[in-house]
Amino acid sequence: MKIEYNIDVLKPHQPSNDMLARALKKVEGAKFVSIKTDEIDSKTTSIYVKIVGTEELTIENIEEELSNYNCSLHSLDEVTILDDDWEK
Amino acid sequence: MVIRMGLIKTWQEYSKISNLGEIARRKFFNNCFDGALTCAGIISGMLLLFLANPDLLVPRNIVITGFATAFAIGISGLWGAFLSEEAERKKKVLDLKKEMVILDDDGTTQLQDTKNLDVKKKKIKKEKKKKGSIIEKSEKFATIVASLVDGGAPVLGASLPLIPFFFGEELTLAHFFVSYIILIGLLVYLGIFLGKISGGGRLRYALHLVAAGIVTLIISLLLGHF
Repeated sequence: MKIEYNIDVLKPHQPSNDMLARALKKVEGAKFVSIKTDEIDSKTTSIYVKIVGTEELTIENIEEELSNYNCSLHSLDEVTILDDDWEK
Repeated sequence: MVIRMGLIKTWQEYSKISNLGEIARRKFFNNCFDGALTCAGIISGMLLLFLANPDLLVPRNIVITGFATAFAIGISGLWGAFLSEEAERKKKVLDLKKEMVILDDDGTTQLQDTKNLDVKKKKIKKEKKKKGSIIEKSEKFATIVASLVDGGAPVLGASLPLIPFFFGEELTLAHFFVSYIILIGLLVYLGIFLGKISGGGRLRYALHLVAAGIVTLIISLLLGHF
């Protein structure tokens, strides 16, 4: 099973997007992480995070890892769940 | 070895997040310079006493006085820095949580000023009890390191000029002469250190610091005439 989450996150400037992406990649089940910056102000950065993984990947684990880095999950914008043998 | 490398990498991460490098460098310079000039004052005072009565003192007297002062400055730096750094960093984490709209464990929000936040960003979630985020750990790490630098740097600055007084049973002018040479060397090193940080002007910084040392010496010697 393949699971894809697209989430809107608010983070402080530190840790960097690079550090956060590497941390999220370590979440159980995560196979692909992409972070794109949306907005930056004096103290915070809004980012779009895309995480793709196997069925072990859960939004709770992602949220926990984000909170370890003082990031705030603001909205789960898109969820895609795909069986391995499903054909579009 | 693997565990040690992992720990070093973690500490490097913490340093980067808390911007420890810049703070530690500034504290090292300020406090080492403080310690060096404090020691210069003590040695100058002892020199005056020696010149007035050469049999009054032995090298041990200067070592004990110097180190007692060095450790007093060190403890003052360590303790004071720990308390002030801890307070400042707690405030920093609290301010960050306000900006991030992160709740405490009791569910209360620290949100005060919402004028900079979109409606979307006002969504509030409960945080479960945890050991602390990486930012909190980084700030704690930075507090400890900054305090150690604040405490250790003045001890280093004050101790080095005392080295000549470990040698010899009787006090001589040579002790003071070598001590001043070490002091000047230390001030020059600190000047070069500053020049390296700023990317230039090493000679200018070194001359500034040596001038400060000479002013300290002159004032101390002039006090002997009162």
